[in-house]
Amino acid sequence: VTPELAIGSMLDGVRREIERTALRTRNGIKYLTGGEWAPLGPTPSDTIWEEGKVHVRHYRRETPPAIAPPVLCFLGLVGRSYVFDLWKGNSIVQMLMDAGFDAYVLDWGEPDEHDSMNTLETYLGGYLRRGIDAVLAESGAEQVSVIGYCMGGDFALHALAAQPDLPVRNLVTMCSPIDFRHLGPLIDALRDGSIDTESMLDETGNVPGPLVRQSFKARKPTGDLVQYVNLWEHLWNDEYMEGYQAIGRWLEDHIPVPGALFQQVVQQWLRDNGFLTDRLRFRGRRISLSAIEIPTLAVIAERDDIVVEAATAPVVDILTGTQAELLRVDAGHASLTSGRKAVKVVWPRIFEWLTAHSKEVA
Amino acid sequence: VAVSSTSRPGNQRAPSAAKAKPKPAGPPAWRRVFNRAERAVGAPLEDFVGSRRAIDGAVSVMKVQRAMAGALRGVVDRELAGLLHFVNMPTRTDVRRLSRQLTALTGEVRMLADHIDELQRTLPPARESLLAEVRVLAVRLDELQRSLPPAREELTGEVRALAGRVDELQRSLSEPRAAELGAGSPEP
Repeated sequence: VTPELAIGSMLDGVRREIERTALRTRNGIKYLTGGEWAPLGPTPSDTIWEEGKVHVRHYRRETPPAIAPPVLCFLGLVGRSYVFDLWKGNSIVQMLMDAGFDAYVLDWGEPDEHDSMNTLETYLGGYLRRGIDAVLAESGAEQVSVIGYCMGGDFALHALAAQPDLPVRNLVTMCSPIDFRHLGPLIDALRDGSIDTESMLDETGNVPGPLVRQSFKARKPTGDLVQYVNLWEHLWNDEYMEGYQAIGRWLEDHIPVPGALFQQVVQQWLRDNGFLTDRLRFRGRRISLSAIEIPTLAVIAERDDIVVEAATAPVVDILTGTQAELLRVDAGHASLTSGRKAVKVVWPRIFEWLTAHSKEVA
Repeated sequence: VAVSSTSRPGNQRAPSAAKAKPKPAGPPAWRRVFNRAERAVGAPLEDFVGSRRAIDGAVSVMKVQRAMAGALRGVVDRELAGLLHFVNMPTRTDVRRLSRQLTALTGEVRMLADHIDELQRTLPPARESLLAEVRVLAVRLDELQRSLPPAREELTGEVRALAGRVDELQRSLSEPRAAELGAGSPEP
């Protein structure tokens, strides 16, 4: 390397840093004054059904769907449903529509004091069934495909085991734990009763949202600091800021879990390990996952440190009534729904499977 | 069970063409220093908070906090309740109790709604069986209608006969009455 080249490269570096510092200053002011890089819910949608706090959104498409049945996405009662529509260019519903599907999202709303006695039956036997009926009425289809992310996948499995007559054609579960013995010491403490479930309920009778958030955050004590350093490093980059804001907002935004449902989940899913031991219950009767006969795809994120592979993989062994498939992807729990790899690799693979199990509309 | 993967095998070497490409710029020096320092502190911290000992400790602290907060709230609530009840005002506990009752009622209404839904779902087969019965009845009605004309003629004959007898009776009833009226009338 000649001295001229070295000096030239050093000058380039200084020039780049000066430009970035100017952009950092601009974006820093925008960030501190509450500027928006990623507006909430960028894809236009219409609420087609609501009951209480629960509603179903239908995403507007310019052309009729090319593939049937429509796809209904939902989470469990932990996070917000806008994870399916995080920001422009990283919207699962938009990708679904681009792939030819009609996209719907079921939002459970934010439970409050009046929902503290809601049970699995309330959500899976009532809201979910009526939400699916609304999608069928809106689309004119006879069935839907379901994508359940994390606890949403568990909801779907529990619901379908209890009500095999639900008009669901295909099921995709994403990072949905089945074997709750592998989810770390906090879940272990709930499993063995060291943590009394009653003690986790607040005055409203629910598990407060901040407690759910803290339980996730506590896993990485330096996480906030790392996030701030990431922010400083990439503050100049508007594209990065879009994702940073959208994901950061979603990770901070947890909803309360209804107390009665929480106690059912701890007893049936955690303590009884009911998905594996066939000890799930619904309206007082025992149910079994072997009742599920629809094609199922279980997506596993290999770098998921929240729901590890050992907790998710057994789903293919217990779904004895159907041909369950496993899709391992090189992603983490959150990066399964966001980031370049999710857009370019993960979701196209899921859509490929869904398309193969759906039919083209004439 | 079909298994597929999107990840690259871990120990597979990149093709030689990739080697020729310029290496992408890594993180800046200050970031590399931070990362090292963060891991030096963060990794043992994560191990600790992820241990059962830490969870048990946190649970104990939470229990003590709750007990203390509960005791304090109990004292304050008692004092405040006396004062508020004295002026006929509800306390937070009263409102909460009412709210719980309302929640229970809402739950029952939802349960009823679910039952109605279930009934509606089970109704179609019942309606089908009713329709089948109606169809059978319709066939029988057709048969009856076909067999009706002769029966109707018979009935018509009988009705006519009866009508004749009624006429006769009317006549026989009116004649004596006219005679009675004629006999009993005063002379002018």
